[in-house]
Amino acid sequence: MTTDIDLEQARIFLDTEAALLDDQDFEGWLELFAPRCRYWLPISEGLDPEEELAIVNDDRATLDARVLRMRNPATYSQSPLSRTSRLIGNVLFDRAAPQVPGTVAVRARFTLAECRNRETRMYAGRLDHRLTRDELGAIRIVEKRVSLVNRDSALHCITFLW
Amino acid sequence: MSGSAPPPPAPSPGDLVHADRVHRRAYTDAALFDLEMERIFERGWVFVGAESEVPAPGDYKTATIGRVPVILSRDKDQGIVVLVNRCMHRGATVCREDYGNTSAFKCLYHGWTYKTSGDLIGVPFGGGYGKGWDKSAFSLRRAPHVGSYAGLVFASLTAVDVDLETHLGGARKYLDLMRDNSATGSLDVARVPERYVVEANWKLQLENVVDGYHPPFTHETAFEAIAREKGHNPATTSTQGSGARCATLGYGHGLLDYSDTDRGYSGKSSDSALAHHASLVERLGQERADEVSNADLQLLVFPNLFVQTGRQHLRVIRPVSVDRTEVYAHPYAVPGGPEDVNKAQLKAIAWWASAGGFGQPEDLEALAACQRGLAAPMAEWNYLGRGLHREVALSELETSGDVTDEVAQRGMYRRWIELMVEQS
Ligand code: FES
Ligand SMILES: [Fe+2]
Repeated sequence: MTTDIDLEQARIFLDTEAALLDDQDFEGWLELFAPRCRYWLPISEGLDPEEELAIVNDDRATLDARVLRMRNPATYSQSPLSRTSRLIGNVLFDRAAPQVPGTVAVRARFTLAECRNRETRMYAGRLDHRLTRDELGAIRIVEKRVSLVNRDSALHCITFLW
Repeated sequence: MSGSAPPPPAPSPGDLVHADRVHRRAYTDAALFDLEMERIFERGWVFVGAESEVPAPGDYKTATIGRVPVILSRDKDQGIVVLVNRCMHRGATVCREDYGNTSAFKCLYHGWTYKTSGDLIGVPFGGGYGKGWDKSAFSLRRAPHVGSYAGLVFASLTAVDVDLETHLGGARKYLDLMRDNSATGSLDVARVPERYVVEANWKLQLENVVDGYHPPFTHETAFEAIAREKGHNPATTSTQGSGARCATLGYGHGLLDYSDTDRGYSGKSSDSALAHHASLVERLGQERADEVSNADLQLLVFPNLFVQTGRQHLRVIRPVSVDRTEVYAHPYAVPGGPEDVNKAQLKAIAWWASAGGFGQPEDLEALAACQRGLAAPMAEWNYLGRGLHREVALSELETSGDVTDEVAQRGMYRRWIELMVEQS
């Protein structure tokens, strides 16, 4: 397994991921994740979701369930689905992140507009991806952390996918 | 330009609540909301925080009682006090952190400094107020009534009609089950909560936490996710006749009691849970230990605290305005309890009781929908009569019914009337 991922490839990967989400291709998005993965939104330090309370803390099984739930109209907080539009920028390798063999750490910034029921909300924050390549050489997400700037505020429903 | 018309007077609270119904204006009238803050929150017992949130001398937590910013402070000499977070000079909040530890609260504006007991100890540039000026008259205002039960701290900013134990009424029996489950007699409450906004009146949120009627409908897809993972759909234990029950416990407190059903949440049969149970048997005897281990409770302590034992967390309900409420949901660990279970709560709370969870968001959606619908003036009443014909008085304080019945909600509004009308 090689982890040769250069910054341009990482940038294209993040943009592709964002496009899948904004196009509401949630199943396509899910395929970007490794079979063992973490998808989470911290409230506080963002260091370890096993030790601190998070807004969202999914492993692969709960992430699968989350995507499945999005498609059921009885999931009232996503019925109708949120429309989202996000911009990803400031994509850099995260030199400060711990070294994990077989992976690279990429940090970025995002702004996201969400509209549901004719109400629009703006979100912004930091994205931290830990990426790897699978046996076929495709880039896969081992961990995705979404740190909202307003993560410790009282939040409205944020059950759309980040 | 002429001044705007004065706001319409609040409706008379006594006209808004009947035995089986509540008028829409109870949820929509801004003047009435102000009256509620005064008569329910700024008078009477309100939950402020857990002792475990401020374990060491000098520790503090900021909170609100109704609209009033307060500090839950553990003074090294006087113990736990509840201070009004308002500088006695010209109004600034003297403490601006969620939590911390300090030897004094120093106001950021002109530097007045208060001990953690609230006493004013420092006024910069002496002599500015002339001879005989009495500093002690400028101590931070303190809640005159503070009490704690099972490690939970309650306070009243003005008068109380009853002492804390009386106020807790029939809720004590259930708080005792939680207390006895803990080696220290209290719960270890986390300092980082989930925080979310409910676009609805605070009473709709209160009704919801002890509403055993809605889960199979509102939470259909969350329950399906549980069923796929665990092979057991909680909807089957949240239906009429499941053995679970809804009760009112006096003084507005309410309960959903799932102890006689198996919701499959708690992992009661894991090795660590069995070991914990064995230690309870040793400490409490078989019968009480069984009762304690079996408890699966959702308890509303009127007017602003909710505790759930299945997913170990408490929620603080914070009214903001007539149509906006915030909720802080704090996980807790049970001291001496199974470590894996305690640790699993962090994930369980994020999974259900967060703005991005599988449970809470549907409640937020439902409550916002209620608030919108209640704008319709031609449909005046919310009907809370379910099970009125079949509820059973179990004791002087506790009346119980089927889990789908609106027993707890009716009890809430009986207390609401007492506080809003009879004692005003
Ligand atoms: S307002 Fe606090 S010192 Fe002046
Ligand atoms: Fe609910």
